[in-house]
Amino acid sequence: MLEITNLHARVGDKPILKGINLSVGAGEVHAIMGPNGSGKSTLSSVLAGHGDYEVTDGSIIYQGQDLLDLEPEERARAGVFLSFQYPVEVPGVKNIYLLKSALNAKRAHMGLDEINPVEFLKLVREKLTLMKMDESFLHRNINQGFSGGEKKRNEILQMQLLEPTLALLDETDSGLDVDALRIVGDGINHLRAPERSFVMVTHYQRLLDHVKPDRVHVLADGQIKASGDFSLAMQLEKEGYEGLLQNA
Amino acid sequence: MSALQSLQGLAKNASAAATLADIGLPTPRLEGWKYLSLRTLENTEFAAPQARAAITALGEYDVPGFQAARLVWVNGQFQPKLSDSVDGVFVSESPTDWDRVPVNRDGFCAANAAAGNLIQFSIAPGLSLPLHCLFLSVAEDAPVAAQPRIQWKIAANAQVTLLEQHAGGAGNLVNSVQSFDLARDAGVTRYKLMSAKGDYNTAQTRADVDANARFENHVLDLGGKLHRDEIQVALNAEHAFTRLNGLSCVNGREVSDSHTRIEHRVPNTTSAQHYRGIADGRGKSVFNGVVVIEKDAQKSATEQKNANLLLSDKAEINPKPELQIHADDVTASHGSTVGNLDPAQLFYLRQRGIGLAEARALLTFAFAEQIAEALPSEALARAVEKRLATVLPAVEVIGDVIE
Ligand SMILES: Nc1ncnc2c1ncn2[C@@H]1O[C@H](COP(=O)(O)OP(=O)(O)OP(=O)(O)O)[C@@H](O)[C@H]1O
Ligand SMILES: [Mg+2]
Repeated sequence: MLEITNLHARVGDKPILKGINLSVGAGEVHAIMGPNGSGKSTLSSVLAGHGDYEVTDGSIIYQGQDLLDLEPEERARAGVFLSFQYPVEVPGVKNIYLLKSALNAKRAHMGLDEINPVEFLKLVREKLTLMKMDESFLHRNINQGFSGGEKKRNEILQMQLLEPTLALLDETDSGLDVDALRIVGDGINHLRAPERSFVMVTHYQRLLDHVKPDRVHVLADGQIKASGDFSLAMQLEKEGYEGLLQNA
Repeated sequence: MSALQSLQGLAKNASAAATLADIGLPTPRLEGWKYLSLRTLENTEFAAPQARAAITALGEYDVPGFQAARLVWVNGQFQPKLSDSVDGVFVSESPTDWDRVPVNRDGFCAANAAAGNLIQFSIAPGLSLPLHCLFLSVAEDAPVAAQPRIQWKIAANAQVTLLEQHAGGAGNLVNSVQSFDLARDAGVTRYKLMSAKGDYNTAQTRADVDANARFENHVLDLGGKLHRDEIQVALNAEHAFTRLNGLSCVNGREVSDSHTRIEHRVPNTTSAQHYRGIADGRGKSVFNGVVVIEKDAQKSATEQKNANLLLSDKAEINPKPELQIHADDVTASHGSTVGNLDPAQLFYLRQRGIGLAEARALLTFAFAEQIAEALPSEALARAVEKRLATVLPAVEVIGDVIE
């Protein structure tokens, strides 16, 4: 599904990713943990094609194609979805418009016609129910004035609708109350499928209690310093990064 | 013949004509006119309007959902036969000129006074009504000088919603002067919708606002050869309020030149402004907003927002907010920005699969939408959104955003 080899990336002159190797198979859930500023969001941004980051070495192969050759929108249409750590507010653009255009862009890519409005509304309502969001969110400007938790839920709502092949979830659990965490966790589990993979960046084991990862990685100083199964997350919770990285 | 000579030739009022001869048309050497080149206008000879063309199909200028009595001007001449008569609205074609806009303010004000087209509308106390003022600019044998001069007398407690629509456009000069006199508790919500692209349009508006009265103005300039819009509001008694909003979108070599001046003359007066400009191509957009809070106008509040989107490196934006505060106990805020589309927003939309061109169009539309969606009239908001879709770059790709 995703094969990252020796990935180096920088912002301006500042190297941030310093040789990442990561292999994610179809249907797998990988968790990435690591100290603040270690490069987790940078990795997600590079995968999504953010223009601020320059890839200086290495490769990213997604479903057999070189992801670095694709524009951000092409990656999205090919099934790469990023749930932003800080979802962006877009005043003047209604949420429902984003949902519809995004879905239609993906459908066009798959050679399908635009979805008909009735079918679209039915589909969106179904996803709203799943995320326990009310319909008023559709007619608000994208993320504008949403609470922190509402923004995260809105990200997962979009993911539900777009049904990506590779979902990158950057701290989607941060700032959620216990109920919201369960809703978001269920939202992710609902989408788990043999042909769909997840890379979840998180600081807390609590999300991993809801969504069981196949692999857990620790990213520090731009490199993956340790990998293991779920028990690595538990070990981290006990020892902290310092303890764990000293032993690594 | 130059524009100036032709305007002098059209004069009916000798003293105003003398003032015009004396001061001439404005030049870029004048502070308030420095961004505006009048060269092509100056070399055009303007004739007196005959307004003989048969005007039909006025319905095509209606704004869906905005139901209002219609008042019609053709090339600056009021047309009683094409206009509705409305109970409580009194028309006087020979009123005394208030002269709130001094004849010698600038050459266009002098030319307007000299043309002698003064008409006054008085709105009865307590009346609440919408009016659709249609200013049609039609082609005659040669370019004409259309120079409406209007006094609006809004009696106590009357509430008027006024749609001022400029349509047609035939290389004419449309040079208007309007004064609003708002008595206590009166309210005016005026929408100025510019859609006469081919004209030179210069406008001077003056409003005097009495106690607890409200003057709201929304200028919607979606592009034209030359649009100059100058508004002065005097808040003359306590709890007087004014809101001046504006949106301008210029492209090609279009020019939109907006000047506002708000005077807080007494305590407890409030003003708010929000102007947005989008400049593409070689377009030019100017916003000059002056707010004066006089010494005695304590506990007054003013807010001025100005944001501009520069879409091309050949386009030009000149924002100039100017706060002159002479009282010490006031609330004042202002901010002005010029920028390009927000890269974080662009990336967010593209990450959802929306192509770059569409994302740019969408964000440009969204920028203008901040003014459009804040229009108090839902019908006008829809109409402006529809027009935006025809003037903004590549907005056709996001057609259904406005459905
Ligand atoms: N656009 C940028 N400009 C400058 N520095 C940047 C930029 N993006 C990231 N960085 C820097 O790169 C480093 C890694 O940032 P990143 O956001 O990837 O960390 P993170 O692991 O996601 O941290 P957190 O857990 O706090 O979210 C940080 O030092 C950050 O300041
Ligand atoms: Mg981060």
